[in-house]
Amino acid sequence: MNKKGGEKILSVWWIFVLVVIGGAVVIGVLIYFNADVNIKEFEADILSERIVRCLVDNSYLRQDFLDGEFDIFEKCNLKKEVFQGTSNFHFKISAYNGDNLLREEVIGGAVSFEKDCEISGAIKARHYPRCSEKNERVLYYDNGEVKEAELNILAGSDQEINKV
Amino acid sequence: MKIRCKKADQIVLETTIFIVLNLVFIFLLLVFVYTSGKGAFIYEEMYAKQIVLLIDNAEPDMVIGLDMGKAVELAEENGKAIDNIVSLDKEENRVIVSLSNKGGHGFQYFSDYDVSVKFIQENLEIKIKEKNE
Repeated sequence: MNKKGGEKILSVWWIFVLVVIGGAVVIGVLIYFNADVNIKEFEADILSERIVRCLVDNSYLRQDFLDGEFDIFEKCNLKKEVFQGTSNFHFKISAYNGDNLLREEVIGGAVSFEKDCEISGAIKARHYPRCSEKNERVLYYDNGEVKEAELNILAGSDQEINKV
Repeated sequence: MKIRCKKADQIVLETTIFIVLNLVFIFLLLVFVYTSGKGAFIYEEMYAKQIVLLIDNAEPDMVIGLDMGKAVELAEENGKAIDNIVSLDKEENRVIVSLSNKGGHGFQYFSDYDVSVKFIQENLEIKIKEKNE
């Protein structure tokens, strides 16, 4: 009688052990394979790097950029449509000589990213955009005189994978 | 004697059933892990992102080779033609990777290049050209 009771307890205990092991394996596998590969930061970094490469030539800031006759999309090979409407990307370019803004800021894509990036930089937020900021010391010509400026580029991405 | 034999038979039977059930449980777990690991969507997402990063980081007149052996293997298992694994939506600047006949995964690139892709065996050849070249 006692033996039968013991067997019953053992089988209940064994089922419990199997459920725990099975559950742990299933949960582990699901977490591993559903893990999001977040490349927003890489994209933002590539975008900011692309803009730097396009604006700076041999440490000199492009003159046409300073003159204001500069189509960033055409000159930097960026697709304009991607940065319009509900865009997944954002960039902001500004050039300063001390406190003087050398030309009007150039802004493209989703403007709200700037604030969102401050949040995602401060706390761990999965579905927030990621940004990359680059500050470059550059030279430029002002009435034939070589001057120094600081080029600031902020780029962001909030792209998630799409099921097609 | 007969009673003893019956009891021994019963113990053997119970033990056998117990072992068989445990083996079935382990087998089911292994099948689950194996099928989860072969899920096409993981590779679709991974390759789409990888191709987009390569395109956006490239310069005009570059030719980039990407080993997509695992993707080709999965596509063949799912009866998908190799040439249809990677497609480009040039209107939306999107790379779409599909390893089965149940759709695929797409990711957008921001570069305004003339991009073309072609499979050479298991390698994807990505050609980057300036537009209107």
